[in-house]
Amino acid sequence: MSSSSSSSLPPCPKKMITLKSSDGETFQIEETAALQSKTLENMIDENCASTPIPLRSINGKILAKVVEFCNKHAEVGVDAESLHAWDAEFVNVEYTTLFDYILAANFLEIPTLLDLASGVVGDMIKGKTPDEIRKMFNINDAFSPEEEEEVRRANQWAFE
Amino acid sequence: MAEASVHGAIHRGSSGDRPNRDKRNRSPLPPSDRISALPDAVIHHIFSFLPLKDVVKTSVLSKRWRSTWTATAHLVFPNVRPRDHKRWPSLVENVLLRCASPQVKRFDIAHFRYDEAHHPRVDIWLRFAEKRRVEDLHLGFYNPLKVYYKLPRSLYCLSRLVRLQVSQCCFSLGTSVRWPCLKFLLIKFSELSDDSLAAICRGSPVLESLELQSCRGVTNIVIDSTSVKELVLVHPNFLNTGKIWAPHLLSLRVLGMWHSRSIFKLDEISSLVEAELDFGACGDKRMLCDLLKELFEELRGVSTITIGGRGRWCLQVLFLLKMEGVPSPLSKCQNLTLNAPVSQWNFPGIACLLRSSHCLEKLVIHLTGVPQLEFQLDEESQDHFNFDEEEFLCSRKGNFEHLRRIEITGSGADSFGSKHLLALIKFLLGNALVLKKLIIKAQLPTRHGQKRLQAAVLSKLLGVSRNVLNYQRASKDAEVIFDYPFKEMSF
Repeated sequence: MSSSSSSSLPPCPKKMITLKSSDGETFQIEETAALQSKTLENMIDENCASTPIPLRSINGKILAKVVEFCNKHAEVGVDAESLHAWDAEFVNVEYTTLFDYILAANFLEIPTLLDLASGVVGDMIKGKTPDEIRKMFNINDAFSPEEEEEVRRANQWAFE
Repeated sequence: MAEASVHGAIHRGSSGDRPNRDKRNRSPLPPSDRISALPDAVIHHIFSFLPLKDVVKTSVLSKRWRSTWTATAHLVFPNVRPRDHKRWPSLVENVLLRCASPQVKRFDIAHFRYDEAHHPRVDIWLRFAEKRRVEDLHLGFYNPLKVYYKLPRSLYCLSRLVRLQVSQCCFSLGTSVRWPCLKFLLIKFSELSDDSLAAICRGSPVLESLELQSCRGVTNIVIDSTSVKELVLVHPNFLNTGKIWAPHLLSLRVLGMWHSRSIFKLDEISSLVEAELDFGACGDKRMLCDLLKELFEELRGVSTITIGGRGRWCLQVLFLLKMEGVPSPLSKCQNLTLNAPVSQWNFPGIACLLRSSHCLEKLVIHLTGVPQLEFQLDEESQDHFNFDEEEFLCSRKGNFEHLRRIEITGSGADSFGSKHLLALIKFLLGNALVLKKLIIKAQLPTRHGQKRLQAAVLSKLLGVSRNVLNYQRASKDAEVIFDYPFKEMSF
């Protein structure tokens, strides 16, 4: 768990960086895996990654999964088919967790994770009626029937 | 699909959640509306996975959602139902009028019956897309009366364009092309000329993939650009015999239906490493045989070759040529994929192909399609296909010094039951000296309530396995793996 490695040294095998979640858990991740995150890549480039990086918007539970995702996607020699199956299992979670993945991927700028989780949410919405979507995601603050009718009329074609 | 629960906020995730000590034991709280709390940027990313209709429908979800969709950067218009054809243009205009996004990355009209009268309106749509710095543009027009939309001049200099797909359009270049970011170009059912094609390649310095489908007006395909890696040709309409001159091309895929009068010659493809022949053929049989002979000669240096699908006839012609005394051209192919059943009709062609592929390292056979003869043949030629499969192979000693891996996949058990396939497996196992793995993979339709059927399938597959396990193996390292959906078995 040493975080004392100096970034000016010549590259040594398995350079690690440390991430700290909003609830204070720390996670070690190999630099090569962390590079999938553009946010982390920038910090590494600017030599800001030698001390634990605080990620105030991501809790430990989600950060653990994000690190797992990055590690898996940095593995060499994984064929596309098995990675696809692994991904499918990874996003087979409650939709609230999907939102956490999306927010974390958005913050850390991890396009593969962002696309994966957003695609699943997209699939949940696709072809559903507004009522079904409201119920599925607990969307409140609905329109009055008159207001709703007005909104529908503006884009009638989409509701046919 | 994940079944969302109304009480999602307090449910635990199912995959590997660790116990969380502090927060989550605050039982029934009112379920929160987390999707509405997502930032717009994230919502728009989710929208990018949805057809426009679903995106626009979110406007009635709640007040928060009323105008959210208007900032979407992905306009993927729905397909037009025939009865909506007349009012469809106004639907597009309704959306464009409301669209408030400063950038429209994707503008996609996949299927629209274009008539001459639409010309000025389509021009306006395109101007809209141009002004919003479109990156991915799809104009999927059709009209059985061959009415072409003449692409406006401004389209030829879209500086952000990365993907362009057009169909039933007319390229008439009075201006130079400037597509500095274009990587992928698909032109379907359009009017083109050799000059336009050359101008497009010149003006697209980073173009990687070019696909031409049923384009008229092309006589030769000349690609001297070093960036174009992949060429896909589908249902060509070459005026005569087309020539393909593309010295930097890495991958060539030939698909669709080809007629013997619009065939092509590979003039220069010296960098090619990958070729796929999945094209059906009709017309003069002699010409097609000659075409194939030349084609295989040109492809002899290519390391990865896929044959099959509609291209199953190639296997049959290879054997017919052999019967005429034409030797199979030697190939340096290392990875060979065949998409065809190993039947009486394909078997001898496959044997010829294997025999002439001395460098083969990996062989993949997808047992797909109907085992049938793809040609009308006279009786004498048909007679060639009547043989005893084992004797046939005995007379052809294989030379597989490099073959390390064989994968055979099929769906259902019947595709594995063919005696020709078993003979081929026996032959390969008996001759491949350094074989490491033979994988036989059965994919089965997974429907519920078919257990009894599955038992029958399993017993058939086990029969296949029993046979295969009895065959002699030339390589002492050879492992035979049966990947059946029931349970992986290894021997």
